[in-house]
Amino acid sequence: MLETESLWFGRAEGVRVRYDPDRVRFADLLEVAAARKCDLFVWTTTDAQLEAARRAVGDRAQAYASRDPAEPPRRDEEQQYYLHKSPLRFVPMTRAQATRVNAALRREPDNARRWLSPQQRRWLAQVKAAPDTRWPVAHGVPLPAAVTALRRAAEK
Amino acid sequence: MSHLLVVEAIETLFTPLCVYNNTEGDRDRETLDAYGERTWNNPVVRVVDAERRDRTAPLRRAWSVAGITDLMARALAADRRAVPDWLSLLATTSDAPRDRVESAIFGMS
Repeated sequence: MLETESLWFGRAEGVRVRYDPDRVRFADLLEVAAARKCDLFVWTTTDAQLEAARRAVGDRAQAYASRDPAEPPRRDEEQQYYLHKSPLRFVPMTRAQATRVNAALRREPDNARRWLSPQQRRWLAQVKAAPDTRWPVAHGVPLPAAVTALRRAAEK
Repeated sequence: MSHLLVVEAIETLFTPLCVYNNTEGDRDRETLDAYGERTWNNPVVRVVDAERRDRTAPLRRAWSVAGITDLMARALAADRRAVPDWLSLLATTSDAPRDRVESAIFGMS
C-alpha cells in the first residue's frame, strides 16, 4: 500500500487507499478493511475491484464513478490523524512511512518506531529533547525539504 | 542513489565501495576484470561478502529506489540478516508507475 487519504462524503468518513496491484491484492485490502470495520461501503475504480468487492460486501460496493458528482468528497483537514497529534509529525519520512506510522500509532503505539530508520529515530529523540523548539511539520513535505527544514530549526 | 533512506541503508547496513570503470592499469581495472565487467559500461551494483563473492544477483538495469532497495533486501536475506521494516517498506512502495497505481475508497462510518 502506497498511501491513504482521509475523506468526508457528507457525514460519512472514508479512506482512499492508493496501492500497487502488482504488489498488493485488492482482496487482501478487503480483508483488512473487514477486520477493521472499514468496509461499511466500498467504492471502486476498476471493474476487477468492483467484482471482488461485490463478492465480499455485496451491495455495499459501488463503482466510484456512479456517485453523484454534485457531492464531491471533502479532504479531512487532519490527514494521518494520529501522526498529526504526535511528535512524529516533525520527523521527515516518506508517505508510505507516514501511513504505516499513523496506523501503528492507533493500534500499537509502541511499535510505530519499527517503520523509522535509525536516523529518523535520532531526529525523533532530538525533537522530544527540545520541545520548546519550533520544529517544522514534516508531514506532507517532500523528504529532502523536510530534512533541510529540520536541520535549520535544530541550528537555531 | 541520493534518496535519504537509500543512502542511510548503504552507509549503515553495508560497506560502500565505488569501482570506476573508465581507468587503466589500476586496482579498479583489476576488479572489473575479476568480475568480468566491461569498461565504460553502464553502472552495475553488487553486494559481495568478505571473499568478494556476490551475495545475490547484481543490479544492472533497474537503477531506481525500488531496484537498489530490493537488491539490498535480497543481500541481507541471503546472509540471514534481518531486513529492517523501513527498508522493506521502501523496497515495496517505491517507484510504482503512476499508470499502474490503483485506488479505492473504504467507508468507516
